[in-house]
Amino acid sequence: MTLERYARHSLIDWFDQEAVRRERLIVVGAGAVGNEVIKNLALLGVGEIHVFDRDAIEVHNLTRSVLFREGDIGQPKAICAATRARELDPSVHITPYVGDFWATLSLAAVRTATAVFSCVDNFEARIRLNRLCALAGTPLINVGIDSRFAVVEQFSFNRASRRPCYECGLPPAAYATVAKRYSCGGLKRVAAAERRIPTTIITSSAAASLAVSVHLRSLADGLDTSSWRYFQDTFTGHATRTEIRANHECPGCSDLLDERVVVAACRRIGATWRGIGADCGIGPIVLSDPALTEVRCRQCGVDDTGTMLLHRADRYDETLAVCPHCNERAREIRVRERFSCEELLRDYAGYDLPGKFIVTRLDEAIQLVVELEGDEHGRGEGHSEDSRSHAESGSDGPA
Amino acid sequence: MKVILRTADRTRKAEVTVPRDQKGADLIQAALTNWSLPADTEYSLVNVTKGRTMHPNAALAVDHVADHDELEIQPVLVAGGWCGRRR
Repeated sequence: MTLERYARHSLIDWFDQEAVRRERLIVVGAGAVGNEVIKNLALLGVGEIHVFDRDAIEVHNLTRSVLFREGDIGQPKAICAATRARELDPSVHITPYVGDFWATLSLAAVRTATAVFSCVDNFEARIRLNRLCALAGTPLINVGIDSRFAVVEQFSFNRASRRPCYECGLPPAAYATVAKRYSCGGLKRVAAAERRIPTTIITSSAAASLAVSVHLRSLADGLDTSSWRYFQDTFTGHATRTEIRANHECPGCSDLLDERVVVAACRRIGATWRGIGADCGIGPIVLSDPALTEVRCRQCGVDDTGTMLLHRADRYDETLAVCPHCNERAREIRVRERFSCEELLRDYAGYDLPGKFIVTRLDEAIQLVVELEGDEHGRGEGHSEDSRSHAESGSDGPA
Repeated sequence: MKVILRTADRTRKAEVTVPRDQKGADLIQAALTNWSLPADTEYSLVNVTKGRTMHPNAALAVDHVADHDELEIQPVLVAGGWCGRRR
């Protein structure tokens, strides 16, 4: 880093280049808004940027993506955005991650970040990222656009107290939109289609500027104890700033306790869980991703539960209801996300817990969040004594 | 009570008389119908006089809405880029 590069910043009385340099930021989504956020962060000279996106560049992205060129079509957005941003300031450390952030972004990484920018384009991804940040206690800046308006929402999550979250201000209709993609059993609908919302570089650049500015100010002023929504009309310049109020029935944070212990553990259900259950009076265990617990045909009676037990339900679609043995749509499918510790040990020992993490209570005041390590194959080795012994001999449980 | 209801683009604005136990969601629905707002968008309600978001399922009185408060219907903006899951 050359000091001359940031000479103009140093003339601004509130601008602390060293504080900006210490930032370790995560940007989820390298589309229209993500491009602008990454560009702004790189030009400001932040220390680290971690970019998550699963998509490849398509020709229609080029009208809204300052970091992409025609020759980049077909390349992963995350890698291309990181490469171009490095050209803006080679001293900024930028790391791309290609894939679904739910699989590639760990809770541990979120905990060590100074803030997360949500630049995704659907409710489900926003809800998931919100829950990760709320659990981790890491500030979240949510950015959204359409062809006229720009919104920035700042959630000052920390590890000492609960703060209003993204879902506190989300209307019930948003959940209905998410639900359209899933059957009532949590399986994906075959014909579910995403509604694509047209946008321009005008709203994405306006939103991203405001988002980065809001975060920059929090470095100078300290984090606010409230959560805020900034809503801007790019046609007229009108803007509102409103405080996002806590919703005591919020599905995202109403169960969240002020004190949370976050650990990583092997996803195999074994003896270490028994120890916790007996010693700490562990509460119900809630999975981050609902799991299959029963797949049985009413018509021919074949029970295929064993081959899919504790698999993530969203890995399957509605065709799972069709029995491959009798070709009838007659399978009974049970999907669950809440278990008791005793039940897991009794009925599922030796199997792997699916999903990203589990949440439970150690007591009335302390919440335990366990990030599940290892490959997620959702398939145990049955209830044999061998597999159980293998699980019990492990020392990588949540204790 | 009387409240002033408006759209985020400020092209629609009306003073309406509503019962104190009316829910924010009902106001949004009425605006959708009367003003023909796009139906394929989700909306939230903010009290711009108080500078606070509102809970759609709460009664206006419970949400601390007072006479002549100005309420704005804002679209919930969800576009931005893609990296979530899809088929």
